[in-house]
Amino acid sequence: MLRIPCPHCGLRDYTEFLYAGDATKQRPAHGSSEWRAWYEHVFLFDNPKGAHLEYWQHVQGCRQWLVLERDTSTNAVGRAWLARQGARS
Amino acid sequence: MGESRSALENYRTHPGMDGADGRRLLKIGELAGTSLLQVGVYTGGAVRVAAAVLPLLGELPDSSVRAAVASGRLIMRIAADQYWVVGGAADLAARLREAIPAEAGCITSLEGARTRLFIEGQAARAVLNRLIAVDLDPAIFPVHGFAQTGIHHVGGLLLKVAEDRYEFFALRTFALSTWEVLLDAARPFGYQIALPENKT
Repeated sequence: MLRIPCPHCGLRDYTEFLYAGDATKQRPAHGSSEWRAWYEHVFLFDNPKGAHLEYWQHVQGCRQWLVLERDTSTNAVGRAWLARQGARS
Repeated sequence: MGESRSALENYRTHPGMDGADGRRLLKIGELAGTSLLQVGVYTGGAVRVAAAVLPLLGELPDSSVRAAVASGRLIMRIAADQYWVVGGAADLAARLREAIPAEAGCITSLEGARTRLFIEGQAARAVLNRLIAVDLDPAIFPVHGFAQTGIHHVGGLLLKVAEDRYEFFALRTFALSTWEVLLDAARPFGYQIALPENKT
């Protein structure tokens, strides 16, 4: 069972959370009209193996957006922190 | 203001059900008429909101797993910048709105948005263990412990109010679905229905 350490609610089952994407992707600048940058951001995804940073939202808990350390090859979960603190904390 | 009607109104005459051994080990029902307020704090407004509500609510709790109980009210810190206040005087919402600076925080009345269910009896924990992924061991989830979680993929807030009694604040629009799931899980133990129960 995957369990996620929500910074607010504590350790919870992953079924309470929503996976929300790669936290390492750099979003194009607000107002940018570079269509290729937006195309790559919205439609192109890496499929990394190993340690990774991901966005999750605790939808059935505190509704906070989190950044979570997870190993995509072992499912080992590491730290989690509020996304408002930045993708790297 | 419109008349307040229970989302479970048509279930008042539900006869209940005997369990596998012919007994009814549970009492399940709804609590109506309770004040439920949400205190929201805007970015940078925490100090001002805490000072504003201090005379009315006392100190806002830091704990995100244990409710603060005082003067017949429960206060739960449900998110980093949000609190629920359950119970209290009828004019509490108006007084809080008056006290909290508009640029620092806000008050939202949630009485019409949540249905407050309860389950009581020696099998209550066993029933809830079938529905939610939260450890209800008394050492971890004591009286006045609470957790926002989900029943049947629908979010809600679980509050333990006594050793064998729990309350679940279900979204009103999903209250009937949550109610049916709860009754279904309680069937092996037997239950009687208490709808509605007024509590102020």
